[in-house]
Amino acid sequence: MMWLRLASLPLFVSLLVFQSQADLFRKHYDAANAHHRAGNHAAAEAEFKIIMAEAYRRLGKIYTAQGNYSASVTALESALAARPQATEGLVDLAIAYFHTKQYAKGIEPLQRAVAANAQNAAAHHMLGKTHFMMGQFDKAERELQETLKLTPGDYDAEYTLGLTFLKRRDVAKAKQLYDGMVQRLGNRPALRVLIGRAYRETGFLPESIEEFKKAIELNPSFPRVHYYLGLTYLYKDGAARIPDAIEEFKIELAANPEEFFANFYLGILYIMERKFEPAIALLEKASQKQPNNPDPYFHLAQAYQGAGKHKEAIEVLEKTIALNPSLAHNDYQVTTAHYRLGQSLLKVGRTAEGEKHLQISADLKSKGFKMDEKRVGAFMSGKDTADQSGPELVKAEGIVAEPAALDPATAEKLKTEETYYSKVVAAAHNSIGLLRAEKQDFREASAQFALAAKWNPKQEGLNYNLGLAHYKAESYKEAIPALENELKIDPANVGIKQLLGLSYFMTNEYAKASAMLKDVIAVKPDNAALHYPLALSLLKDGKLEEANRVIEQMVAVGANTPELHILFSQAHYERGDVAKALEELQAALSLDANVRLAHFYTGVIHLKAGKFQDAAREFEKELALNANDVQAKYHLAFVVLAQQETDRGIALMREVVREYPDFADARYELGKALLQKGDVKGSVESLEIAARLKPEQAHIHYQLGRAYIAAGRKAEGESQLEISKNLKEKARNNN
Amino acid sequence: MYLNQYSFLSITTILSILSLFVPSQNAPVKIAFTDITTQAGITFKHVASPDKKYIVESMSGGVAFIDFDNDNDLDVYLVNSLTVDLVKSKGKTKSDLYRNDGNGKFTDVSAKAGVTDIGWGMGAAVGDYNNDGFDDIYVTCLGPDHLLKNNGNGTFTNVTAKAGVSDPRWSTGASFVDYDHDGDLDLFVTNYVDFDVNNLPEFGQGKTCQYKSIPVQCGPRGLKGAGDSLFRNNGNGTFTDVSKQAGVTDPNGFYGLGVISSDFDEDGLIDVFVANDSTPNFYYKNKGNGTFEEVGFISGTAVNENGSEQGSMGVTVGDYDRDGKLDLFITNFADEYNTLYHNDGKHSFTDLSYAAKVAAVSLPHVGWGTKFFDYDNDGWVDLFVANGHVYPQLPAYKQPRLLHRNNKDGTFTEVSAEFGTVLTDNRASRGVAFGDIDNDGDVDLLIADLDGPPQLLRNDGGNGNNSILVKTIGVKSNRNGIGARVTVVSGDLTQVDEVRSGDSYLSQSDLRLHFGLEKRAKVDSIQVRWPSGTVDKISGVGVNRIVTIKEGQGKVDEKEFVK
Repeated sequence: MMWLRLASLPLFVSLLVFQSQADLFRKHYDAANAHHRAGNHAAAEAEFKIIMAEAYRRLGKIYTAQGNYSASVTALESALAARPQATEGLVDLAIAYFHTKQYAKGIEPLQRAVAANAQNAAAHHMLGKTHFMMGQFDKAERELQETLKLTPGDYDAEYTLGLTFLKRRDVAKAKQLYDGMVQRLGNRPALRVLIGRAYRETGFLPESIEEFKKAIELNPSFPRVHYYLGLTYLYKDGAARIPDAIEEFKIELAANPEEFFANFYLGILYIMERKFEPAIALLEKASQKQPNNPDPYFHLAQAYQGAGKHKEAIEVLEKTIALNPSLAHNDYQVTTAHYRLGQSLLKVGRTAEGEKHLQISADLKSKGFKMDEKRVGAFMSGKDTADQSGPELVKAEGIVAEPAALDPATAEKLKTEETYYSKVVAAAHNSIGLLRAEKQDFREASAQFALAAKWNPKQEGLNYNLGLAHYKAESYKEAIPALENELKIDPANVGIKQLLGLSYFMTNEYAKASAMLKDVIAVKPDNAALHYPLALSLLKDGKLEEANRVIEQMVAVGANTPELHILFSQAHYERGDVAKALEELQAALSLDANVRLAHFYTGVIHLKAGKFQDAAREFEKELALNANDVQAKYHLAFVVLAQQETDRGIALMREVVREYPDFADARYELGKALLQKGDVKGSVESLEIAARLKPEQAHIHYQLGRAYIAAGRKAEGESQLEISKNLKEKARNNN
Repeated sequence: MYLNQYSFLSITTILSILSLFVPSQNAPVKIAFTDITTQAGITFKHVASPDKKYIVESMSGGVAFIDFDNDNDLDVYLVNSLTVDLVKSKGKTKSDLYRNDGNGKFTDVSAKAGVTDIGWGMGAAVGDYNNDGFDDIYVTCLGPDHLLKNNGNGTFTNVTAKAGVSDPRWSTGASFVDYDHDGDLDLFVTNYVDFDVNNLPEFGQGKTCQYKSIPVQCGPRGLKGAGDSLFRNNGNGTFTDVSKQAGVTDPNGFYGLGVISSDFDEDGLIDVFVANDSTPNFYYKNKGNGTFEEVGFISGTAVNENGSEQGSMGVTVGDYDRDGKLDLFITNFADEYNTLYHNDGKHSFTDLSYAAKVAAVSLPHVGWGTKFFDYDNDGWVDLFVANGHVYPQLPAYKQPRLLHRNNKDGTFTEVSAEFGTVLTDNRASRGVAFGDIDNDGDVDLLIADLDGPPQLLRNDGGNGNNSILVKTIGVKSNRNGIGARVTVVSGDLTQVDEVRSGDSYLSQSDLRLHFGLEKRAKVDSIQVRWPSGTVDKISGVGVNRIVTIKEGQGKVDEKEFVK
């Protein structure tokens, strides 16, 4: 098979707008080609990795600018993986970690950046912020002080340092710092609001109120300042300040009647005052403003319920439930919405539905409770610091400045750059993949081609390279989608058809295999190696006559091939002549000890004869020839379990379902074994999947019923046993 | 208790749990509560660390009224706790038993009684588990609980191990209850958090260890919970743990605190209600075959009217609207109102907290000990709530008490201000026991404060109206008559209540039932439906007296109040 060539130079240097990078890429591209010509694959790969790392780093920065921090993490981690010793991009990576709340992960790259350059103010600054979010305020202060030494007057670092003081309950130091900022930057409402929010988020509520009031003195219509003040009143004094908060929200609403938050919060406050009609008006408006936001519907439902409008409540509760994706999104709202819906359904006489939703609410609340327990447990055991650690600063304003909204020109420019660097990354991966393929390292080659396809799915020839690499790596299941895609582009390509047909054959998709291989043999009638899989596929597909014709062709081609003996063995076995079947298989192996399927079929014959040890030995031999043969692995697991080697059998069966999640028989055997082992939960899980995959199989329902009963789910267990009984009855009647 | 547990906790949550402040109405003050702690000779001091860095240091404070010497007046048992530092240094504290001398004085008899060293105590319940005529004490603890058997001679013996009731977890509430109606008292015990003193959650670290952005103790939300226990009395001094077969194990490990037993649907079977902190409450319907069905959500008592689980602490049961059905009242965490569930019958309840005007006024407070009781003897039960936050780091750590006077129309008015500083002073209160300590016809209060002395508040003037106290003695039923439903009819006034072990917050009130009669001069009838099913009815009883009714024999004793 021919591989496509290394990525061409134009791919790396075609866009003149990025001339400086193009020069860099040209230099490394030329060097890579020179090394390749000299046969030095490792050096060539290193050159491509330099190109790749730089392109990834650029992509990381682009994603950060776009606010897509998880993509930024991926790109910057890839850059670092390509060039582990590089120090460029470390601070960028830490910033991306910060924004994705992976604070602990940010420490190591930042420490590396500081080790490389102790004067790196950006690294010290990010270290300060990261330690702050991890609740390590001493370390945060040290780093932020260092930042301010290197860059005096850095407003962002100063603000964070003030927050650090507040977190350490040192309000005097924070006040001194913030007073200094006001003196230097000017007594502006925006700064007062920012300082007020710092006080509020750290629990210094009187100081926060004072700052908001100062902002109002400077500019009474400053956006959101009344809203912040109202919220802080509630935060500080609770219900006693509802009237004051309402007044502030009203002022905010008067200034901006269409503003979502003003309508939303004032609506909620009216609910608290049990003034349901005005609450309904505000919350209806809020829900119109954000029709895909579940929150206003949730509170609107409460207002409807308070006003006795249960039909309306049901409608909006159904919306809020539909819009809330999961418990993780907002467990309080998700669980409570079901409870409220249940209540309203009961009120309108829909008792069964109402009770159902009450039960859902109860179940979800238990689930939410367990989630919290797990989350905090992980935090306390030190396994997870991301979710729990850090102050509850809303976006921690000032901790890391949020990117300003992109103007259209900048957004367009970033998009162009993203496209360009994505293509560069893809081309580099493709080139490394080809280098690896040349060295017969097909697994790594296929991994590289897959990455290339991820970054530039339209790159010419990539599907072919990827499919071929998977095929060569004997990862036939993975080869199929790539080859299918390539065939769509080049439908007449016999080479691709051959690879695809053989991949189908190796993954037991016999109908597809025979269809594809027939086309290939029509073009290559003398290729005996193709007759065997075609004949076998036809046999497996129940097309005996066609199979016989292909076998005849195979004999006519004149080859005494091992494959032919395997086919003959099948025919003998079908006729019940086990001895001759085994003889033919032995003959196949004597011609080619590595021929596929001879050991497998020998194993099957032993298995059916109840010779489990012999069968296991044959399946193991087949797996030695092809570790990915899932049928061999399943049969081995089966006989191992049959020999009561439960732990090993379970482990093997788990490998099978990991590779083929929809393998119903494997799911069944695994579930049965787990039940025997006492892992009731695992058993139920596996058998439920099996029952979903093959709902017509009585034995699966029977086993699932037993598992349910063992799990204490008596009613469900009895129901499954009943299903099993009915299916058996039905099968008996059909027979 | 309740922390920043909701993932969306933000101003939305804060707003959603707040409500309108309802100012109290003025009413003429005719009754006083007088703090007689010092003059009575009670010198007990509860021990807790000042900083309360760990949740276990905030939750203790049960108290009990018990007539341990059968002299017909209420003695006092005060449960003490420990601190993490004391545990580490192997230090000890002392729980105290005070004998009521009948003259307004109490004598510390703890040492002789042998009830002082109970480890990290939480609360107590009283019941005569062996039907020998002497009331015993069950003390809940962090670590093994204690069953203290009353020897009848002023001493107690710790029989926990022999009896098989040593729940080793962090137990909180307890209630003696004859759930299987076999004539002896079984025991329901709630457990809180799976807490290990040697593996402490770090103060202020993580989201569930912050409150309004201030570092505080961690939990309970997020900490692993502990299930509950039901011990069946074998009738021979031993018990069997039947939690699993009875269906009350609480497999989720919700944070159990207050527990109360009551026949909510009047089917003759005692049901059990568990107030869970930060998680849905449990309402166990007794199925009459030794098992319970948990129907919290269907009954409407698992969560409040908004569907929110609350930080539930204390619990009481009473017929506040005199419709003959026993209603439920739960005290909750700050920013969550205290919840009044009206009993609609057939295990169905409606949250009428706001309509009854007990909700809004409770929002700033963390509520604990509570009880429906008729402080002014007007024939309508009022409500008392002891408050106090769990975080000493907050300015509002100490909080005033609430006294809701029954307006006789389904609503209450909060009147604590009428009683002056004895109720309005800020304190960190926990358990409260209610009972007539001087047998003068009105209900007195014993309030435990965390990290300080208790308060014994004598009701002065409540007996300006008439009343009676009913003491029950079971024969076929358990000796205390716990679970007996008593109906008192006086003219147009019909009241019901039940004899109950364990209520309020981890506390035990007077086992005798108190009924205010306003100015009515006689009681037409007293009916007792015993747990055995036997019904006794006596008629023509005078007022202002303690009436003792024995199962199957009717009235066996009658003593006038000491006024």
